[in-house]
Amino acid sequence: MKKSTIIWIVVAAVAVILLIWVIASYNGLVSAEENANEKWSTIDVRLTERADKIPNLVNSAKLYMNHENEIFDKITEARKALSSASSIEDKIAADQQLNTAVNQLLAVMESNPEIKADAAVTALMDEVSGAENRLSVARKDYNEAVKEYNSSVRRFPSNIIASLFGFEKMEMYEAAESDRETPVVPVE
Amino acid sequence: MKRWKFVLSVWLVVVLSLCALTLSGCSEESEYPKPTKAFYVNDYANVLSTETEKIILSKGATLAQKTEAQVVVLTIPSLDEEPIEEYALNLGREWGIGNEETNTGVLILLAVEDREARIEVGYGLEGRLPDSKAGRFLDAYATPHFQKDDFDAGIRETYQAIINEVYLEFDMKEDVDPGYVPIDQKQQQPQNPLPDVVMLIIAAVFVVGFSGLSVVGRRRGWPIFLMMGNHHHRGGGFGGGFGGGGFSGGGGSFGGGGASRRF
Repeated sequence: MKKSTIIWIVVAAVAVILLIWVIASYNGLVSAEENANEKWSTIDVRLTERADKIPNLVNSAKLYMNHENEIFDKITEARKALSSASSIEDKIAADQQLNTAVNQLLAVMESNPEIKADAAVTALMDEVSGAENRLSVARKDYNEAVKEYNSSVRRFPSNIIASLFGFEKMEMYEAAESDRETPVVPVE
Repeated sequence: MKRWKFVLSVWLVVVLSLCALTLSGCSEESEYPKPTKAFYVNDYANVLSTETEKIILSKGATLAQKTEAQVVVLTIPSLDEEPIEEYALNLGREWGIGNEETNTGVLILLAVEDREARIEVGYGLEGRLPDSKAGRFLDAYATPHFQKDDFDAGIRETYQAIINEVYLEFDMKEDVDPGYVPIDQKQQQPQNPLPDVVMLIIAAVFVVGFSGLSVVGRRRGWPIFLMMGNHHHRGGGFGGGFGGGGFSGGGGSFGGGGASRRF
């Protein structure tokens, strides 16, 4: 009689430990997913911040650089693509495009001594560079968060809980290979 | 009799292992330098004078004590091919510069061989020290000296200016160095002339400030620090003065704000 009671107590204790582990794993996955979602919204915020700062920069640049129409066109095109992007892949590709075009513009402006001497334009350049940098940090933070979440989803033993409760891998913020463009700085 | 014990033990081991495996993870080695005990000044490129280091430490510690904002200087020989924005961000986060809740940290990074400098501003100060302002600090106080290889003066002036601006942003005008011209006014005409009452208050503050400095002053305070430890002269370090104490990061984080300059 005693023996079987002991057995049942131990089995119950083990079952409790198992339950606690299941809850902890589940909550861990939820937190990791929430963290990634939060980092995604930061990307959106940074995208808007950058978008707001570009027009002023472009307008001041045009005052000094009237033969660099190619760059300005690229920027306009990329901005249009970004605002009309519907799918996430399109958004990422357009963002990449805009990022390349803006960096090209900044590089050309950096090498222009007249522009460098203009404190107001330099301030705008700092603001746009800062916005691009913040955006790049937001992308990196998001990808880190997704990596952490994904490894929980795939690693044993939490993958059991993941598949049990329907947690799926998240996509990293990356452009497709074909959309990647090497920035070329036009020679003056 | 022994069988059930065996089965149960195996079962227990399996469950506990599941728990252990779930908790396991690996930690990465850091490739960045560690902060010195002085925390606010870290002259790994050996370009700063002892005098400048003292000023930075004193002002940095005082600012942190009064506002919880931490302004840290790091000089390094080389970035080793890493973009300065990335280096500054990762380091700022690793050292936890600034208050944990409010993220009020600033990192002034100078990479001597790369001839590049950056002011990295923490999340919490981004509104008060926007990117264009950070750029202006570099243009006004750092680049002119750096271009002539006078890193000591460049760092010292930039540091003092930033400390003053942070005090101004926290509305602590009495802690600002007398004679300091706020960076917003350095290039432009001031919009509103100061009303007479304010002028009187500023004058009074100067008078009190000067008499206060002559009694308590930093110069008087330092020997006490030095007497606590040994008088070692090691390449400009303070080592002996600290013993068990020292400063450290408040746990603040960064989001990529700030500006860089090449010289």
